[in-house]
Amino acid sequence: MDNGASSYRRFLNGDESAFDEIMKELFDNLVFFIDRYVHDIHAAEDIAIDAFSDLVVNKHRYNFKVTLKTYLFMLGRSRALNYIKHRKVINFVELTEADNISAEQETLEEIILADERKRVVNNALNSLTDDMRVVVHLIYFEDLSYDEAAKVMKKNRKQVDNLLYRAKGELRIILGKDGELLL
Amino acid sequence: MRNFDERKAEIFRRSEKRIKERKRNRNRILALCVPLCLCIAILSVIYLSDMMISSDKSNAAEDMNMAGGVENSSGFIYTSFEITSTKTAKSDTDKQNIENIYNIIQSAFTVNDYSDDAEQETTTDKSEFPQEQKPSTQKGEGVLKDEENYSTGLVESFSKGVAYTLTFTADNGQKIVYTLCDNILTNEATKESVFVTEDQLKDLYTKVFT
Repeated sequence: MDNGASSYRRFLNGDESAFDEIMKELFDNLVFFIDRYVHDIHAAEDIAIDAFSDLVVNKHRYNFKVTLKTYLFMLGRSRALNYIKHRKVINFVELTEADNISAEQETLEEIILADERKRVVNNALNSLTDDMRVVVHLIYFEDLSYDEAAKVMKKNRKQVDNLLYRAKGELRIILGKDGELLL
Repeated sequence: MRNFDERKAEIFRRSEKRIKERKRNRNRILALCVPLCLCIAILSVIYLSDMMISSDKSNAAEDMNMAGGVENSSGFIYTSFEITSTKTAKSDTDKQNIENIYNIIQSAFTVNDYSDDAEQETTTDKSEFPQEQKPSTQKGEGVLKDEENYSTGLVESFSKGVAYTLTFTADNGQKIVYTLCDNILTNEATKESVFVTEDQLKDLYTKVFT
């Protein structure tokens, strides 16, 4: 599985349907990942759209040295961090709208986290630090390798190892002995 | 949240917008840089040409100074004059007189350019001059001395066959030296020579020795 690289190559050669395949395969996952940073599903969707438009505008920036998924997640992460840096006002939402937002988020989670085990872990992630949460998401939810996760997070493999080790320790505490088995 | 088609449409809409903006920025940069480069090129050409002209002028001024100590705009610069030969030596510090002497010499160089061709009544062969200057061969040149007086150089003209050195000196030490021998006046710096007419010689003698 090349995580969209072959589809992207076809898209570069002029096959627009290949882009649809990439979107179907990676868009929701990217939104879910970006939401780990921004905690706002609509903003996460917006950022994911920007990341995908990067693929269209800067067609030759992707050099196929990493998987397309890794490259997209790198784009998404940097845009998410930019968004967080420039976000100055906390958006206050009417209580009547809040239900809709959380409902949308839950729908996305249902799509991504079809596996019940993953849902349990996902709920526990909120108590972790940002880096730990992201690394668990990438390794556990997105099935990226340690090297790919390191590239997305702009860390080295050793740092990813350490983060994951500490995250598991925290989750052990949160989820208890049984919860540890979920990882 | 948007559905699939809406997301795709939004992705391509934003992509086109970014591509258009990129093209517009590129055109703006070109529109700014090209005239700027042109201005820089034109200004540098003007500046370089001015530099070349001014360096040519300064070279010409130096040449003129070497040739005849041409006065600068503030006036005549030489304040001392001396004439020497084997038989005589005289100096002068009267600026007006020095200037007159200088002007006579300069007029000789201006009018009687030795290097000009046959239009001038001179020849390039110096050896012919002594013969031409014999009083009997001159045409309407004014009164010339008899040979005896001519040869002594003491009465009204320079002695024949005697080399006179005329030196003009300025306060700043600048000097211009001429030699006069048998109607041939030579600028020692440029080695330019002219034939001095009898009238000019007479004037020169008068100014120098009286």
